Amino acid sequence: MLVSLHIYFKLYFFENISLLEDIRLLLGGGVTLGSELKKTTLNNITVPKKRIKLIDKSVAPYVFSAPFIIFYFVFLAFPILFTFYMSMMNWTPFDTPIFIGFKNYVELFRDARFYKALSNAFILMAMIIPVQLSLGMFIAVALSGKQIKFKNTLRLFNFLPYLTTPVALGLLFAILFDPAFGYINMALKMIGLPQPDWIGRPWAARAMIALVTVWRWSGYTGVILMTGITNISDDIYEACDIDGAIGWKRFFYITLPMIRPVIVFVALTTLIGCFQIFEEPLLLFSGGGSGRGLVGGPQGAALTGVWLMYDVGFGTIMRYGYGATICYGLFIAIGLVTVVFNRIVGIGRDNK
Amino acid sequence: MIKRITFPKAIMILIIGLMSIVAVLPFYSMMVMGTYYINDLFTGIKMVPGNYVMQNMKTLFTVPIFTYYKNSILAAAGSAALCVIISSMCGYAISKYTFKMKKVLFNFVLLTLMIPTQLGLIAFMIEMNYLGLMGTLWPIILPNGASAFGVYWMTSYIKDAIPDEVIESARIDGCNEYSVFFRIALPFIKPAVITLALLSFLWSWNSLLIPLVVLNKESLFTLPLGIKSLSTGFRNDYGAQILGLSVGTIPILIFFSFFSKSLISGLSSAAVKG
Repeated sequence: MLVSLHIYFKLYFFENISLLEDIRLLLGGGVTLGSELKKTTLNNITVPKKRIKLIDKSVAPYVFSAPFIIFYFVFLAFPILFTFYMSMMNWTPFDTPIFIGFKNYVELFRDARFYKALSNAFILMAMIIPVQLSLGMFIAVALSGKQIKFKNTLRLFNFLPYLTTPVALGLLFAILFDPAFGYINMALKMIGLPQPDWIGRPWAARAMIALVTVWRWSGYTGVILMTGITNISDDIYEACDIDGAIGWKRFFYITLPMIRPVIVFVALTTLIGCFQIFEEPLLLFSGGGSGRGLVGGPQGAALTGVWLMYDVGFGTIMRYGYGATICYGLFIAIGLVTVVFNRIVGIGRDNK
Repeated sequence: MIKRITFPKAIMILIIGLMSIVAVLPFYSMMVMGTYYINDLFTGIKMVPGNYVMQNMKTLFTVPIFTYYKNSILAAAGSAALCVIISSMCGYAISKYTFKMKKVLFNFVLLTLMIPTQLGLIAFMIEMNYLGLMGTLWPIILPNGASAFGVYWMTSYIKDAIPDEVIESARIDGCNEYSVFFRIALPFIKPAVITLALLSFLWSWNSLLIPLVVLNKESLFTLPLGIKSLSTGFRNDYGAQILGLSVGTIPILIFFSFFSKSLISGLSSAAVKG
């Protein structure tokens, strides 16, 4: 047994230095795995092999990438795995955790609030994505033209909402959207339109969140799509001019297909983002105006996945174990949405 | 050919102008509203600044807003430094070396780009508690060392930015692997370092969820937490509340505005290349 292991190691190390060897040497060792391994036999003459040190070229890439791997496992991968363990426990801050198996998951499947959060995410997707993508596309096309003056200033203006702390925006809009004294309803009154009760009615509340989200992300979408458009080479456009493809034709037959990957990327990140909207609704419904302390908004219409997780884990309920279960529920939901989205987009690509 | 503005183009300029106004109007009204007395605030839409700003200031500075600023700067700068060092080292390893785990590592980075990291939040809090890091700023700095985006961005940048010949000749001149990186490679990738540092700073500066869970005393609050507490602290004084928003956001917005070009290029690299 030992001998075979020995031979295996010998064969393994003969060709090139493996990761195991590097780690062993990194740990300052070189003694533990048998010192005869450090010699290679060549025509019956034993040539002492060069000792591998930390500064060797073969070791350096591992040293360079080790901090990332260590940080990733300690601060991101471990918590995600440990969340799974926690999701099998009845774990609260007040008593000792008890293992309860899949009971939390059974509860999750019957939890009306979880389904509410999922359906809200889909409703928000339907409200946000078409508007945000078309507004972003408009910004991109309008500002990528060479003729427009103040191009950079306009671009910065549209990009400002993305740069701002979301909490501040949530609080600001909580005040602006207030049904009684907010500027938005005052303005609507001035031009004679109906003034919805943004805080109190489910659909008005959803519309408010969609509006704030679209307002915040359109400029971001715009500048990203714009980079895609400016990356299209001028030769292609010149060829279009010669062939007579101008205006709308040029947009639909050239620009749109050329930046398709960028559009897909933006759509996918927005899709995933809809499960994670948190700061704005939290502040809109528990922040400034008159809708204070209402988790999830009117009839739970504004409850999002991350908000539900926060509320169960740290808010009004404080059940770490069940909160962890919600995390995994969301994890699976986001995964499924991503897979389905890739499927749809993939099929579109095949047809072309 | 005479260049002139056609009708569709005029419409386009009009709409984009309108959109830009909508984008900045809330900021403007935020600044204006902070200068009014609460009772005057809701009598009508205010478009010109009032004269109550000093009194609102006085109310506002009963909260330790400079402490929030100090904590935010510490956390964001720490995150940026950590993220840049770790990401550039890993990116350098992936793009400039051939080693066994290279492919695995890069695929791992691509995979982790897609995983929403907030979902480990509850366990992360427990872990930090176990490590005894609660009650410090470390829990909001350390996770930024593991930025899959940073590694991805550095890998794709370094690939083209540093010629292999330069590294090779530095080796021949007697630099070891580590001094090649710190003395030769880092100066080459300065623009990428600055962009990544800014992005990491921005994300750390704006984040709420992790600070909300791990920072348990007011002396550790970052600016977003401070802003959130304004809504309960000045329940009835909207003037001071909104002034607090301006004080908390405008300086950093000006700072970011100067670098918006480099921020945009960093953000879109993932979309355009990926």
